[in-house]
Amino acid sequence: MEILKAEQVSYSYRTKYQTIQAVRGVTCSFETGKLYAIIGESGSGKSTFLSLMAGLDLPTEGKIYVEGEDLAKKNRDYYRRDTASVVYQAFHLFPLLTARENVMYPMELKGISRRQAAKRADELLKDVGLPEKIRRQFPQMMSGGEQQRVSIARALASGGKILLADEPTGNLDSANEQNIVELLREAAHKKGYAVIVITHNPKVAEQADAIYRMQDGKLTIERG
Amino acid sequence: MTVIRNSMRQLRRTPLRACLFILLLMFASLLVSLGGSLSLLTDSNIQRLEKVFMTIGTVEQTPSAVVRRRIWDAEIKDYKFRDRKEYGKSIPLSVLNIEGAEYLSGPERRPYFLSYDPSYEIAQEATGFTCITILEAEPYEDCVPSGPVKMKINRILYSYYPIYNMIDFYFCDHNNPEPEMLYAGESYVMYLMGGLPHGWRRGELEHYEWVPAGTVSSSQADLTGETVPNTLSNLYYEEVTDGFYETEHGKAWLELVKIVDWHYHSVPVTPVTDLNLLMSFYNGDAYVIEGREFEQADYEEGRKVCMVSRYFARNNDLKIGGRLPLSMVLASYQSSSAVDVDYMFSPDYGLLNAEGKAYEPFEEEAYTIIGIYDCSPGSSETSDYALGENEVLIPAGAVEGSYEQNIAAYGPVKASNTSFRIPNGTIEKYQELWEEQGVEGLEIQFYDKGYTQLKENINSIRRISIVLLLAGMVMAVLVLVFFCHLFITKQGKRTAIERSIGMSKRQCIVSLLTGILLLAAAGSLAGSAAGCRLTGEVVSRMEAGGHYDTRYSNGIMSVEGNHEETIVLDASADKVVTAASGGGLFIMAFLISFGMTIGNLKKEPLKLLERREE
Repeated sequence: MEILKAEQVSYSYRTKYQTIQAVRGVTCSFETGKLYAIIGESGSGKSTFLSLMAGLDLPTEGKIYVEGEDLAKKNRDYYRRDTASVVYQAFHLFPLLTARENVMYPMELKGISRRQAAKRADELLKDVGLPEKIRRQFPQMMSGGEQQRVSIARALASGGKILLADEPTGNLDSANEQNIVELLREAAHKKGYAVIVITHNPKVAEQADAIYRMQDGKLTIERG
Repeated sequence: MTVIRNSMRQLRRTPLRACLFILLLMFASLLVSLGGSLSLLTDSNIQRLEKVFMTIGTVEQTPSAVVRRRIWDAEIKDYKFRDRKEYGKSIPLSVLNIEGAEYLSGPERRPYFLSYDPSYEIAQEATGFTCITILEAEPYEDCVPSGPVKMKINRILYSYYPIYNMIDFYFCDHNNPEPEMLYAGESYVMYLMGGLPHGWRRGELEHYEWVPAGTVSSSQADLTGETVPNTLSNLYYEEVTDGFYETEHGKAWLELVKIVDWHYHSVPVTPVTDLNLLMSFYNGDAYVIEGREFEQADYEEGRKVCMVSRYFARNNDLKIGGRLPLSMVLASYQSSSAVDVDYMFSPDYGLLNAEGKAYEPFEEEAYTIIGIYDCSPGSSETSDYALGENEVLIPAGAVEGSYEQNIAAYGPVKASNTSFRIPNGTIEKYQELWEEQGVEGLEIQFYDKGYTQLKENINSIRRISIVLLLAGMVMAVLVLVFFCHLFITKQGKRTAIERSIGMSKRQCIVSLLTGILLLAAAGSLAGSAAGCRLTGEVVSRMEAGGHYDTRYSNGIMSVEGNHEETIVLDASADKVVTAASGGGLFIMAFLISFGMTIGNLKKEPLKLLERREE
């Protein structure tokens, strides 16, 4: 089922000296239950496109539709809280919250009670393969792989349908890399997320159901 | 609540930073609170001082010489010595008309008027010493009255006390080393008073003697102080020959007889333009015990109102609202009323005018009694400025009659009757102006009840308080900026994460501000409370050490007795000020942190979390 669609999406921004056209007329769509990979050179506009799909910014031209609704007309805070979650290369966990609290936070924001949020967080952390003792630890006490698992658990905690991952394995060793890819595949195939992964890594891309390439702000399909 | 709870949770996990922030802000708040409240307190206390304190100056002509006078004592047959100050020519008060000098009252030179009314009761009890009489008498035999000589009374012209059954008495020209011969069979008119009997010092009482009380004389002067010439005899006694009372001298004796009762039924009346120019009132030695003091309108409208002493009121059954007849017969610029008229009227000047006649009243009015005053016990014994026991005070403007022709005595300006009032804190300026005049022979004594010293102390505290206030404010700004930077600007990534998990901007603001504002509130509140407490402590220490000489702070005179007074400084304002300073700091914390939070939110979340372009 198509959940996210970009139509002639362009995005430009001004620096001190020039206007940069980061995304140029991108049209594509994403379905739930699939893992997508967007590959491309550095500076090709991948992350900018991801931020547009995450609702962190709006296209300067074109539209993004979420479940058929124009994202520009939606409350994007609610969109990020309820529908789309982001996983970052640098994990970006709250450093002063434990693993469990990091996962609980988005649920509590949605009004879920603390008890239920804690229970659900434990389940999610278990699902991503984190032992119980890790759950009470702070991010700086964890390895990169563990932090990324927490990050994925937090993304899944929102209960939305879109999971956007920006180089999720970029800071991980190969063993952890494969584990994280497995988690993302599981999120897509078992939990029904539309998982969109931005990566440089061909090994990660190969495991996607579809691959897009971004070049000079333009998106082309490499494998359908 | 979730946002606040998570914000607080994260704050709790940086306890060192949070505690340091609270402590530093608390200290800054303490400085601001202490400095602010002390500064305002000093301001309010200075304003209060302006109302409580007043600065007056008294003026006295310095003696040109001190002359040792020989006074013959007929009992010991030798001279006694007494020093007497000589002043030379009187320096007019006009020398105080100094350009640039700011007078609030005066300068004024107060005469006292003598009001005579036979109904006045002024004496506490009758004593022989004060028994004054004018009589005609003759010696039983020719004699020189260098010691007590027996005299036969021929005629009593005046006697307040009943000596009418006396046949004879002993007369001694006690202070005259060379008295003239008195001849038996000759009658002499004599102005006498009861004296002490010879031998009393040794306990061997001889005859109770009468001595000369005064002379038939005049010391009338004009307003410039020049004595009006006269041809009176200046004698204590004179021989009464046929037709004596038709002569100028004889008529003067009869005039004296008419007014000698002034000794017993006169009170001094002092016209004032400002009660505080009387040192007794200024010092608090004299104070109103019933009724009220003069109001400004009394002075300005010249109301016929008066204040009387408790002593005089009691002896004459005077009540507030009652009427006191004042018949003012003469004015004196010589000494204070307390010196001249103490206990019973015995002035050191002639009672007759230059024509040898009794002074005619220049003002006869009934004055309404508005106040009864009393003096501190003993104050009249230690002060040159004491009021007479029967002294009546009236507004200067109330006197309508001219007393120019009734000035019975004139002398140099004295501190007791010449004074002025200047604004507080202007003594130095006045002194400079005065020194520029180059006038010699006048000594100006300033009294400010310790205002100069106290204000200097308060100003020192104010300077310190301003330094504290500024230091506190600078520190508060630095602490707030630094910690807001730590808690907010450096938390940009946190905000971005919050944004990325779907928190609204408002929630991010709450998340960032809750913690720091809570800490700021705690710090500023605790600091303000500590400042408030410390202010009270400082003020109480100021009070504890705040004993100030209420008489002389800039003068050279020394005074015996305890004239210190505790100045109770106002400490009531500090709570408001400390609350305001605490609130102010909190508002400052809010503005700085809010500004920084808004700055954080303006940054793109993605920009903070990742590069926009790889």
